[in-house]
Formats: sequence, C-alpha cells, structure tokens
Amino acid sequence: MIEHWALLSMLLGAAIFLLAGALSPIESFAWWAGWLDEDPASFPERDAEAFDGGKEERFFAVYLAGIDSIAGDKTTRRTERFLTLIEAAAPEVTIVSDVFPYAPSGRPLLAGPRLFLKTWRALYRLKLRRRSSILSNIINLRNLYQVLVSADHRYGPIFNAGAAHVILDALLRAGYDLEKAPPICIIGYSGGGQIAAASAEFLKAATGARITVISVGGIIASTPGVAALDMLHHLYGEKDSVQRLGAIMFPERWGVFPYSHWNLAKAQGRIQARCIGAMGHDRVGGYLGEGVDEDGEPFIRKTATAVAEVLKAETAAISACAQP
Amino acid sequence: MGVLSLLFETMRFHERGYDLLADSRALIALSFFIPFFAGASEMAGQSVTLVLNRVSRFRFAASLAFTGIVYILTAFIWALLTLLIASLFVSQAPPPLLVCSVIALSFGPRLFGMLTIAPYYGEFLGRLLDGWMIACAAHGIHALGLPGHVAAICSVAGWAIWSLSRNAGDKLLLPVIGRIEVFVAGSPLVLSSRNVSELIKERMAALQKAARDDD
Repeated sequence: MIEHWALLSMLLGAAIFLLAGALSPIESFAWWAGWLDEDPASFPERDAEAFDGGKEERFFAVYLAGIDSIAGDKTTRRTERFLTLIEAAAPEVTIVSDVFPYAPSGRPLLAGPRLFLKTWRALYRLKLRRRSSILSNIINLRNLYQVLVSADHRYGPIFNAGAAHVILDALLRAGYDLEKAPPICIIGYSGGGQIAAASAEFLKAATGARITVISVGGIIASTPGVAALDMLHHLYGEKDSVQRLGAIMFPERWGVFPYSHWNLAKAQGRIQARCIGAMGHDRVGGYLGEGVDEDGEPFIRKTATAVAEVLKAETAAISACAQP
Repeated sequence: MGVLSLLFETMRFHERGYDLLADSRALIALSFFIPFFAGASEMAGQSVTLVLNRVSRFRFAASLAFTGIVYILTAFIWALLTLLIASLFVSQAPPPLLVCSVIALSFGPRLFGMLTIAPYYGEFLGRLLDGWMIACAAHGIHALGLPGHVAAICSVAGWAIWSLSRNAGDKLLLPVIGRIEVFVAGSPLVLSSRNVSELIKERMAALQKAARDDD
C-alpha cells in the first residue's frame, strides 16, 4: 500500500514538474500580447526626480541574481555583502541591483497581479524562516524554467526583449545617459548569466553601448545575444559542477557545432573563462558563501575581488580608448 | 474506453490494436478524429506564432480547429499515397478504409504535441514525436499484411508529405491553406520566432532615437 502511495506521489510530482514546464512560457506570451496592462513597445523613462546627480558618465554594472531570487529589491544578506564588497573594490562603477530578471515584465513574484501570488508569498516566508528547503526550491524551479524560456529559440526573443527592457529601465532610474551611452556590464550569477547574455542583443539595439557580461558560475546557452556581446567573462569555481551543466545541457555549445553563436564567440576570443577558486555553486561553499579557500580567503571575497578586477580592467581599457 | 485502448496498443507497437480495429467499424470511424485532436494539440504547442501575432481568443480557437482539419487532410493524402505505393508492389492492396484508419491512428503520438510548448527541449520533443509517429505508421502498414520494405517506403513517403505540409505546404503543396490560415487567424501570420527579434530591435532602436531627440 505504501509503495502505491510512493509511486502515486512520484507520478504526481512528475506531472506537476512537466505541467509547470509547459506553462512556463505563458508569462512571456501574456507580456508580449499586452495582457499584463503593460505596453511592451514603450520605452523606459528616466526618473529625473529620483535621480539628483545629473546625467552620469560613469561605467554602469547591473547585477542579476541567481534562480533563488524572488524580487529585485529583496536581496539576501549574502548578496548585499557581495555587492558591497564589489562597490568597495571598484568605486568607479555604479552598480544597479534592483532588477528581477526572471519575468519579462520585471514584476517580482511577490507583486500582483499574479495567479500564484499567495503561494510565492508563503514560500518567501518559509525561505525567510529557513524552513522547508524542498518547498522553497519551487521558486528555484520556477526561475529555472524561465532560464529555459530565455534559451528557447521560439520564446527567447520576447522574453529577452522584456529582460532588456527591465535592465534598461533600472539603468535609466540610476541615471544612465542614453545620449552618451557609456558601456554597460551585466553581472549574472547562475541563471542570471543566461539572461544577461541573452538580453544583450536588445540592450545593444536600444543603447548602442558596449555590452560586457560577467558570468559568475553562469549557465548560459548559445543564444543570439552571445553574438551581440563585446565580451563575456565566465568566472567559475573548481568545485562548481552546476555551471558545467550549461556546456552539457545546451547542445549548441558542443564542439560539433563550430558555427553556433557560442562557439563563434569563443573562437573570436570574446568569451574568456577563468577559474577563481575552489568554490562550488551555492550555499556556504559557493561563490557567495562564507566558506574559505585553501589560502584562508572567504569565497565571497574571492568572487567579489575577481568581479571587481574585471570591472576595473574594463573601465581602464575604456578610459584608455577615450583618451586622445 | 475502446479508442483509448486502441491508441495505447498501436502507440506501443502491439498488433492487438489492429485486430481491435478490424473488428469494429465504430473504432475505424473514431480513429479519424485522432489527427484532428493531434493537430489541435500540436497547434496549441506551437501557439507562439499566434501569440506573436496577437490574434484574438476566438481566432486562436479557430486556428486550433483549422490545424486539426489540415491534419485530417494530411492523413488522407498519406493513406492515398500508401495505397498507390502498395499497388505497385503487391497484387492485392489492403482495404482503403483500413489503411486510412491505420494512418490516422499513427497520429496518436502527436496528441502529445502540446508538450512541445515546453521551453528549450520542446523542439527536440517535437522531433521525437515525429519519429514515433512515423514508426507507428510503418508498423501499422506492415500489420495490414504489406511487406516490411513497402511499409518503410510508405512511411518515408508519408513523412515527406508531412514535412511539406508543415514547412512549405502553403507555398508548394496546398496554396489554398495559406489563404485560409490568414482568414482564420484574422491577419497574415507575418511574425515568427525567426523575425520577431529583428522587429523588436528595430523598434527599440527607433524608440532610443526618439528618446534621444526628446533630450
């Protein structure tokens, strides 16, 4: 009898898993079709009152969180610390972090109208209390499916256009000068790496700026956005087996497709991979974790230093180019 | 229940399914609905084209039904082709109604066509369903008493018809389909996942220019 229940539960779980996957592109459809009362064709506006520093000519970096993200403004303490460390190491860079990349509308999971709003709120409360990691993994699963939507040839264009829209909106709110179009760097952690790379195609069309992506253990498909990137710095940990999945689960990254967007960019030297330590993908031993490397340096600091190094190198190269 | 067990048996390549078919005229008649539902399911899975072109809900439902009808037509042409090829190789071809029914049943795997909506792996799943459908057709034709190589030729020919009707049907095979499609969907389905990127980029660049001019 118990075996039957176990089998039934497994089947039910598998059915929910498949159904959730099948329904995952619907949010992109709804956004594109204008059912969310937002016009996908409108251009984000800069909020002059919220920004009092005039038009910025600084180097801008946008941070896209990993798949455990629930809202752009609800970052974890680890993420806050990580961003503080980067800001301290690269003060010349303006970092924008209030972006929720796992919805083409940028609408956080905790903001309505959403069909499962109450569920997401309940799961968020569980996450805050650090209870039921299985249930809070539903958020990860939902966002993982959105990463696949971004990688899909059919739905990717509309999802990624939405993501580019959301990123540009956040940049303009932070004082980005569209006229001078200074370079933009997108830091994507885990699934955020895919959305960072894929949205570059539309971000480039909207700004004409140089676009660089720093992938922190990113799981990235060979999307057309990779072709639009000026540079992709892939930073990974020695013990991170999750980021390796990207090279396996997205067939167009395989060596047998030398003309895929990914392999062409790699051949042109626009993708650089660098191992930054012995960290894993997440938790204590992950990129933003408090675990320590063999040299005694915490992983979070090591990751922040590596990201800041890339940001500094980018700003230095751009400053050098700008000088007569 | 009869249709379900018939489908189940044929989809797992069991000859008992064809025995059931030969015994019941009702099942033969019901089998012709399978391509219709397969088409509707397939269209629901590929509904991205309709969404991209922002068709209304009524037109959306009409497009599903229209694809179902196109699938019935495809199954019919495939059956005719099978009968034609069979007559070249064997002296006595199987009963036409039974051939039509077997071909219609081979669309069974395509009932899962809706699952091709799944992101990234949906397209791959679609290819698997294609393979499964063609294998079902070959097995069914063979079960009607035709030699294996004839069944293989018939299924490959059917696959060619199937591919043409899906990829270039409105240009080469059935020029009228494209026109009906426009009528059903309410507008020409000009946007596809291939050209939507260009449209969005052009629009973003135009809006950027407008925003710069405003500044």
